[in-house]
Amino acid sequence: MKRRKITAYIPLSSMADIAFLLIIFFMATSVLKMDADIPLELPEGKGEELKDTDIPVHIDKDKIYYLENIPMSKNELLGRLQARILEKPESRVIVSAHNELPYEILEDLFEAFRDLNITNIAIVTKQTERKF
Amino acid sequence: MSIRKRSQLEEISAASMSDLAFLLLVFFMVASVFYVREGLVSSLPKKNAQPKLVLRKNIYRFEIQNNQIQISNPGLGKKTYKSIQEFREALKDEIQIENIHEKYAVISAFNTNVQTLVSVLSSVKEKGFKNISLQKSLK
Repeated sequence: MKRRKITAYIPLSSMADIAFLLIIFFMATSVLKMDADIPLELPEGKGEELKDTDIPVHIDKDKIYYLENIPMSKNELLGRLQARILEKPESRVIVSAHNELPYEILEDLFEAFRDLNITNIAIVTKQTERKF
Repeated sequence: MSIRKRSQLEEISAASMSDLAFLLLVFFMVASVFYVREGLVSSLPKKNAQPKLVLRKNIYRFEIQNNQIQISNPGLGKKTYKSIQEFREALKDEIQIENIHEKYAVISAFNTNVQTLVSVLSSVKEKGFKNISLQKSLK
């Protein structure tokens, strides 16, 4: 009787499971953070990278204040920021202001921050794209 | 001799599934773009912070008015620049400051916009100043 030749092989069927598991893992864990449609043209400047955990404040060209994309008055913004800073004192407030706004708007805001003991701040410059 | 035929289960080859999955993974990795937010990080003085006394010769004043910038210092004298570009180039190449880490930059702005302030602040930081102060404008 002729003996059947048995060839050795590595089962690859689990590879697909691993790959799909990776895709699902990245899809589930990645957070897409998109700023709402706030009409802003950020000033250009050489800055350093900011973290996602920072508290974003926007001021658009109509001098409307936004905290995490929710429009509100300056007083309301300061009240909410104070509560957030009391909760997490290490947080940084990052201010995105329209580039044509008068500087005095920022100056007044920083003055108010100082009164609330919010000292860790950043002025957001143009955002850059980064690939993998 | 009678050979018993083994019952064969039909199977779909799943070998190419991993190729497809990795192809998808690579496609999304290549096609996706991350937006990185950049900014000028600053520490504001505390509410009850005491003013610091600094020798006049160690202070460099940057006055911005109507997009015109003036630098003044007892050793350097007064220099005026009509545009941000001119100021940026001069600060980078012409003006030499020794022991810049010990010097203080005081920026005051009047009748200007956020873009001009950010440009000046960015240039001053790039030059190497560690102690930067924004002076309250007189309204």
